[in-house]
Amino acid sequence: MALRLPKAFVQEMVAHALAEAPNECCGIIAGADGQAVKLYRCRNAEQSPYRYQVDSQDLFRAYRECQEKGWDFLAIYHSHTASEAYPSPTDVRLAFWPEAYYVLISLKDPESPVVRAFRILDGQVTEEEIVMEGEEEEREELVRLARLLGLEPAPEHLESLVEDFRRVRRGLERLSALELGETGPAGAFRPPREEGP
Amino acid sequence: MKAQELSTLTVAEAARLLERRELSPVELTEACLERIQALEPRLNAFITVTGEEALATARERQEELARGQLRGPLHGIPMALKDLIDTAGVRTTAGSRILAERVPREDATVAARLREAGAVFLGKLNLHEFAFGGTNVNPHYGPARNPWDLERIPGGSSGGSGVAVAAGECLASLGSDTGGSIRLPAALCGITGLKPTYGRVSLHGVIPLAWSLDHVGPMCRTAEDCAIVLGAIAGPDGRDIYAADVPVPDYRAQLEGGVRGLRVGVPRDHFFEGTDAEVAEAVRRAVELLAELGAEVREVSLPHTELLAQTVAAIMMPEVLAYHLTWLRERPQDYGEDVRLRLEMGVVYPAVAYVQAQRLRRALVQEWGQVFQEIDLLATPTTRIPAPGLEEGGKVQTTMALIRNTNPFNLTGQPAISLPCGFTRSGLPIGLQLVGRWWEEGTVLRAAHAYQQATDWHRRAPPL
Repeated sequence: MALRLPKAFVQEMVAHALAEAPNECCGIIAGADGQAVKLYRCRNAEQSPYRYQVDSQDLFRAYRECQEKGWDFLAIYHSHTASEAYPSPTDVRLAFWPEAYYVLISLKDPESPVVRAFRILDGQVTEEEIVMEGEEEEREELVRLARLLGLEPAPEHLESLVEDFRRVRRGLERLSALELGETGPAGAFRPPREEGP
Repeated sequence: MKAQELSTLTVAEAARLLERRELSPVELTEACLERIQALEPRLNAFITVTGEEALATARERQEELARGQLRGPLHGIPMALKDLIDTAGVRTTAGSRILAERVPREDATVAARLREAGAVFLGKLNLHEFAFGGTNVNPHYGPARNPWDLERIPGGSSGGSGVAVAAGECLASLGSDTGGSIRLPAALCGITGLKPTYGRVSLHGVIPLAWSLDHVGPMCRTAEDCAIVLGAIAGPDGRDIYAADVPVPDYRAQLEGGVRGLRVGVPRDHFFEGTDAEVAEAVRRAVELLAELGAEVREVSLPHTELLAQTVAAIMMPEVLAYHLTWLRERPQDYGEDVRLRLEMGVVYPAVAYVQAQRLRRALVQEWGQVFQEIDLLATPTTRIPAPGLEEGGKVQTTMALIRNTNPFNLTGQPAISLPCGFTRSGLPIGLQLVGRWWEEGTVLRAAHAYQQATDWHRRAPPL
């Protein structure tokens, strides 16, 4: 299944990789119902151009917040500063989160960084597509919806409206997954009780 | 008696004095007006005070009494109405700039019924703009302030209704409740507020927020007073198709009898999660007291609680936007910042989300109905937190945090009361919510009354 990420998160991972180069960077993306909600930049405990290990304090901090908020680790990312965006044998050996996507950022060509996502299960590496959710497009979609109703949302509200938009989509997925059988809506139409002619 | 003592009488106490001619409607009305004049600069509970009109009505009620005519327990009782309840000839603003000059020609059904029952109207009470928020921080008329701490919110949207009763500016008020707007200010101001069953009280002439979640109900010092006021406003109304043709019992006659044998459920999940420790402790003590008074307390689980927030939102947001659509198109700048933002959020809900939510709502009513076969009442904290500071009041998140325990029962339409059950160490009131089966306001009021016979939290007055 494709990994859906907001464009801003992809940009953030690349920026993190560039900032840490030549050392590898690493971090965690938290998700709720498969939707990315927060990116944690973590420290690389190894401080090495060849290896990475998420700093245990940073890991704990992210884990605790995810626990509190009911999120999970959607993706764990790190960079390869001089090689391809593909898990190394060490990366495969140390992939302890089978539920998470492993995202690699390659700075082999620093002018055009490459970002790819993988599943690593029992030593088996499978590439997954990354679908970027552009905030711009979400905003445009939102403005289109508002205009359908003849409304023009306040520009300073767009950011929080987009957040709500995402929340509603997640909520709708959960609502539509419910098995409600033949239950009709509450408050459905009832004809008037007066007797006819 | 001094003005302060008079205005802090309960409706039941004042009614006894009025009936015995030991007190006159004019005297009582003057005491409240005096109190309003003294306190309003600090509290801002009223948008409009109708002093002259109130005194004129009080004189009429007094003359009736002199002739031996007594309309009932509300005869000559000074009350005030949330300013989204239409009053003939008196402006009704809904706390908005948009309706700032609106003067209805007719009374709302509830206003007409209270007038008929002899109540004296002192004016119109502050609220969150268009009732769309739980804090009553109102950018157009200023915030209503919590009488227990003037730097804190009274809760909303019926904030003025909570403040005016708590501060003794009137003896009772009406509020409306779409997600908790009667119960939140009742809890945060330390009074008793009842959201009746959906359809128990007519909404004709009440400016809507979300039709399928709106309720009107009493906000008073005691459950007994709530019973008196509910008795006067409840019942079918040809002008509101949702006002159900269900017989209205004599709520006051049902008050006695205590809680012996009543089965009180305490929810395992959702309602106590993330609750402030002092609030949770006070509510647990209240439940223990109900047990000591003879109630059978048991833990219960209510299904689907994890979906409550999005279900309520998917119904409420599109309904609210539907009512406001034209104004939001034509005069968006006339809304306050938070209300405009929340109205705009209505555009993100697809029709299917609304229908799915309404289907889940029906399923909830069935499944929670089964739980309520095993219990007569559910007990929860009304809010998870005591009154937040005024600076928190403009934020959408504050409303979201406050309504979490109250809005499930707007969804199911069950009767729910909030009554004072203690204070925090810093002196802020704490609310206990009791929820009953549909149409059984009598049971809710009886349990609340029994609790109030055994405690004195509801008798405490704020230090003003």
